[in-house]
Amino acid sequence: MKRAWVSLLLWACGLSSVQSQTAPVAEEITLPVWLQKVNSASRQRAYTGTFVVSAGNTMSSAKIWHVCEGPLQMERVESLNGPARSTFRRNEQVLTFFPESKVALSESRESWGSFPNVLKSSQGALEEHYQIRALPGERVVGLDTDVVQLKPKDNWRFGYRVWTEKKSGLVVRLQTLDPDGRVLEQSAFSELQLDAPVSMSKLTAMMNNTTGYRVERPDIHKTSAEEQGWVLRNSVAGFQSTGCYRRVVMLQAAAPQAGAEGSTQAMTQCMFSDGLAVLSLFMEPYDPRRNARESVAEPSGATHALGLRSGEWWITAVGEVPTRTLQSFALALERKK
Amino acid sequence: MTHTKLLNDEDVSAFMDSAMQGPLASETLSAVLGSDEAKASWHRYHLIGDMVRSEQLAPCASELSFAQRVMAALPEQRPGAIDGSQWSPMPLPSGRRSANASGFWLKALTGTLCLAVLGLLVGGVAPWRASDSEKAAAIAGVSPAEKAPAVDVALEEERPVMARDPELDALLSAHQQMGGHSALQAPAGFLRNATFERSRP
Repeated sequence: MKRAWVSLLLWACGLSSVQSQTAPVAEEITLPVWLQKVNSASRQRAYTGTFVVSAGNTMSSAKIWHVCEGPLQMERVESLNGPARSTFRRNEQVLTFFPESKVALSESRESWGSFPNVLKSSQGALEEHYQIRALPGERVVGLDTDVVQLKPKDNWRFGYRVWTEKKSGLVVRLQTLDPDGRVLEQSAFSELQLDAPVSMSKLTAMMNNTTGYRVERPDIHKTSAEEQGWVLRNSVAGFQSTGCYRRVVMLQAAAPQAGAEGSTQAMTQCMFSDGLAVLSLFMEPYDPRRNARESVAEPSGATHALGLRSGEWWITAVGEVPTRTLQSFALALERKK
Repeated sequence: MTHTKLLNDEDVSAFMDSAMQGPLASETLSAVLGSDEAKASWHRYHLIGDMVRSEQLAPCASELSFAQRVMAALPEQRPGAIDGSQWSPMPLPSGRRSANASGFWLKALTGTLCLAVLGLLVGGVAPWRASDSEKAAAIAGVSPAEKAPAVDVALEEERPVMARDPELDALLSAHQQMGGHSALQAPAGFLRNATFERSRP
């Protein structure tokens, strides 16, 4: 009898423990304040670790080095699977080394430092379309973390669950959730050493050493949708235009040893964002040899793609949004009359 | 470096719980990446953890024999359906399309997890393998030796595995290059994009 009461008590304790794990923490938290904290976290601490991105049944991982000195931030990302590549970032400058092809891709991510403006211009939209909710804290990669859920208020965008290190606000795990709350993708540190002794001078030297590599820069110029003859009849609520570019995209790399010539295509890329989600519309002349069939794809976890024909043009929509959002944007695009 | 570490579910679980550090963690990660079965375990444990953390459990209860067929088929599911970039041309749907290609497996695993939870209430035997049942039961807080009631669960059509499309890869790269407009780009978005596999230029 006594054993039965003890068992019942233990079961009740376990049940209440499970309930307390799922009960929300009544803590006041606002989206702009939280975003400010997580965006400044990476500017305050050096760290190394292993970063894993998992989506469906696939995983990609990389070793990470991060260091900052004043306004200067540097990162090194060394891929652990797939084609060998090393990515270096110094603020908005990014250089990716591909050892097998001896090509170094040099890019300027001009949108990198745009967060303060992103927050300023989209603050109202963010709070109008996302609800932030604090969840019980958890221990992740040996660190105490705060957990928040960013829940979309409609089905035009995905939600997020974010784990941040308690003191600094550094994001240690990020999940993208579909409208039904299922995890589409997770990006997380599986190993993290904060305040690691990372040398900025060493990273700088590695990034500057392009000996033996052919440095390529994307052919990209800022423009406007109007200038390129496009008009968006309507837009999904909360999404604003964040830039339009005229660029040459390398569709197939040249392979001289195999006798294969590369192929490029000039395209217009227009981007839209609601402050968290981002999508791109690529417009190119319709080519029946390449643009065979209207279709959708889920190339990676949270990223979806859609291709459709619009008169003499082919539109490819790509973004971390539901397919219906890509479809709405693609169908709303038309040529100026 | 050659990785010959043999993995079991406990190794994957310990790695997920950050119980491994340093060289052992690196070796384990490499072994996970090289093992389809370990990747499936990784995915399964994350799903279970997410289900426990979710606000509500999905509608549940599965036919006992169906769940057993699912669990038996899990190690045989085709790997590598998505490997950073894959184009899977399909006709545009007239209505809204499911956003999660692995929804079938999630539903199956969700139903199986709920078997264990409902088993606590009605009594029965959970259709898990021994190591999975102990792990899942410990997470869900229920006894492994329970029986689940039976209901029908609709199967979602399995998607075909397609080869990589370098043209879509190129557009993905162009999209990710300009992703700084997201307030999440600085914290984790850049690392995520840099970690995803890309075609060689």
